[in-house]
Amino acid sequence: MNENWALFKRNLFEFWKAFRRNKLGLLGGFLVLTAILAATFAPLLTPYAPTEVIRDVNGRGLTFAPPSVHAPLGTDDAGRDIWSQLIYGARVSLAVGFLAGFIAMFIGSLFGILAGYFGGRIDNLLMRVTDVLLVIPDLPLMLVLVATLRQMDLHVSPLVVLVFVIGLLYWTSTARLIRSQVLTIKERQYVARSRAIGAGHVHIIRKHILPQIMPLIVANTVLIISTAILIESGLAFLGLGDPTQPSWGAMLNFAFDRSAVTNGAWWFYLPPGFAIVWVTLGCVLLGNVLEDMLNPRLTAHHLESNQNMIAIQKREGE
Amino acid sequence: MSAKPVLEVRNLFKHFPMRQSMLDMLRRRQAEVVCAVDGVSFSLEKGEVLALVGESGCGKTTIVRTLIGLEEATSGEILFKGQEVESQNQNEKNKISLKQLRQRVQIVFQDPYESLDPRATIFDIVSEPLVVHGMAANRDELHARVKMSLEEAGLRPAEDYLLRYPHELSGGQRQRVVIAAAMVLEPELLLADEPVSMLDVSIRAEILNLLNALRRSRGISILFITHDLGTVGHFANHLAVMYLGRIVEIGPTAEVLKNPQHPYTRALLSVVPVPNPKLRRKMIILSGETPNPINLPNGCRFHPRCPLAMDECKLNDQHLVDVGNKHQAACLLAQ
Ligand SMILES: Nc1ncnc2c1ncn2[C@@H]1O[C@H](COP(=O)(O)OP(=O)(O)OP(=O)(O)O)[C@@H](O)[C@H]1O
Ligand SMILES: [Mg+2]
Repeated sequence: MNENWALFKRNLFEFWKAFRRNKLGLLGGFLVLTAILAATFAPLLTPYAPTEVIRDVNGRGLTFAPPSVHAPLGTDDAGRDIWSQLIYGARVSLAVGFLAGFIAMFIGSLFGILAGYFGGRIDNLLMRVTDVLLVIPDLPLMLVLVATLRQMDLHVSPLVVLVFVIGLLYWTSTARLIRSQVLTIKERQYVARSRAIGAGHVHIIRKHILPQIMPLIVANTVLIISTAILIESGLAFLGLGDPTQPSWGAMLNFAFDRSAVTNGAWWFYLPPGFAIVWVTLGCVLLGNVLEDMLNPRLTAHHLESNQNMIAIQKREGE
Repeated sequence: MSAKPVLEVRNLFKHFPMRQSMLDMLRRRQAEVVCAVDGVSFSLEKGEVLALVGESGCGKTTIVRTLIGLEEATSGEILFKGQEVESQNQNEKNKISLKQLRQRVQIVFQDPYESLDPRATIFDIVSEPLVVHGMAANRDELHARVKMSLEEAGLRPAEDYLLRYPHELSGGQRQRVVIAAAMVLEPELLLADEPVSMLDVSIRAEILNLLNALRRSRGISILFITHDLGTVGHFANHLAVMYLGRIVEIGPTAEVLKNPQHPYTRALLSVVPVPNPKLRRKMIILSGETPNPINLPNGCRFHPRCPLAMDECKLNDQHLVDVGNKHQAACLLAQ
């Protein structure tokens, strides 16, 4: 156990050393991390509860108030603090995004590995399902699904419905990506050697395939999370979110419902939009950089290419 | 101890069907096949080394892959210590299962850069066979056996290597790791597929000496595949020369080297560098390209390139004939 821990620490350290030098990756990591911290410590960062109505000395609600010392980002049509809603909204948006992203990643990786490794019928089935899902436009399909499921009296929070609909529809691109990677990895000679040693399929997948594609899965998950957050915002904006627990999308929905734009209440609709951009941009930057850094094809041969470079330089020197 | 050979191969065929184009399928053309291995028989006794020599593409790797069950033989029998090897996990009685076979027969691939998982440590790699076959009772035993195997393969002290990754090792060290992983189960037969051809010339002798030492100390048999006749002389007891999926000459190494019967063997021998210039033979440079194993020539498959080809060779597909001293050659001129 001790050695494994040492090995893990060493790998982590080497990863950090490479990551630290990447400016875009650091920026992405910073954006995502601040959002997660804000969501985690929401009660400490907000002066009011998100549903609390701020009242003036006469006891009237402070509606459509611009940013001031009382409400740092102003108030909405009912006199509730925008800043508090924004921070608490991060909880909903991130939770839906992460959960849906993980579901999509799990299903996608599972199908991708099975289809790539075993081929045959599973592969055919996967490719047909992904074909079908690829040609159907996502947003209308999800709208219909979410709307129908909400009609059905399932006694679950609308957020759970969102999580599952997004998660169950967004795994196809991951599955295809993983499948193509597995297809190349399983032809590698070390997999053949492992088979020749007598290893079974489970052993080969666990010990040789999974470690190779894990980085890809991680990078892809981050990207999927950003998509999931965007879609959640879109659906919530169209009124399919949970009105009792507003996410950023739901805040935008309120803002447009209560004609914040015509009232010139920019503090009502700009912050949630900005927050969505903040997180998704962070995820995309982080995901792309991780993908570049962890791509097995790029790392496996770095020594060989170095040797080639030396050889070429020598030849030029002659 | 039984007198049965460790490995016996009888009439092994391995044909790969080629992908057919739609047009050809509609025309009902017969599917073309690559005759990678085309009727090969040989046997290997305990503690002996059989060298299989032949130029690139003649089917050497395919034989090894078929022997260990990575490819399914088209036809033919493979017997391990007199027991037939079952095909595709069917649990037939009296046959040895693939899993058992893979415990007692180990393989060393050609390319040490490709045959090690880049994300596994040396410990993971060498312990893998033990883990797969459940051969170590606990972690301490696992550790002890991995270390012993590494040291035996010449990686000393073993502790220095356990937590390294393959890309931190040189080609020769990697091949030693592969050999350590192959020897950790104490196999009875080692299939070595050109174990040194990807290595630097200076390291080749070391690896060959290592294999030789392991053979002496453990008494294992080795099927040694190579395309370099120069290295096999003092190492292999028997020599088989392959051409386009067939063995064209086989016999005790000294006998074949001294008295080559098949023109192909002579051509191969003539280009082996000999240190003593007085002993140098006249070089026989073969003309023409290797015919591809899809459209095999009629008659003797070597006749288009054979310097001694006669009209008869175009018609007669000569099989191996005895020429004395356990020496066989597949040539009309062999006597
Ligand atoms: N999976 C396959 N599908 C189709 N043809 C194959 C396959 N594997 C090998 N072959 C063909 O079989 C023939 C023999 O290949 P093999 O790899 O056994 O040669 P080899 O003697 O090991 O050559 P080398 O010395 O270059 O390693 C070649 O013509 C090759 O193209
Ligand atoms: Mg080969």
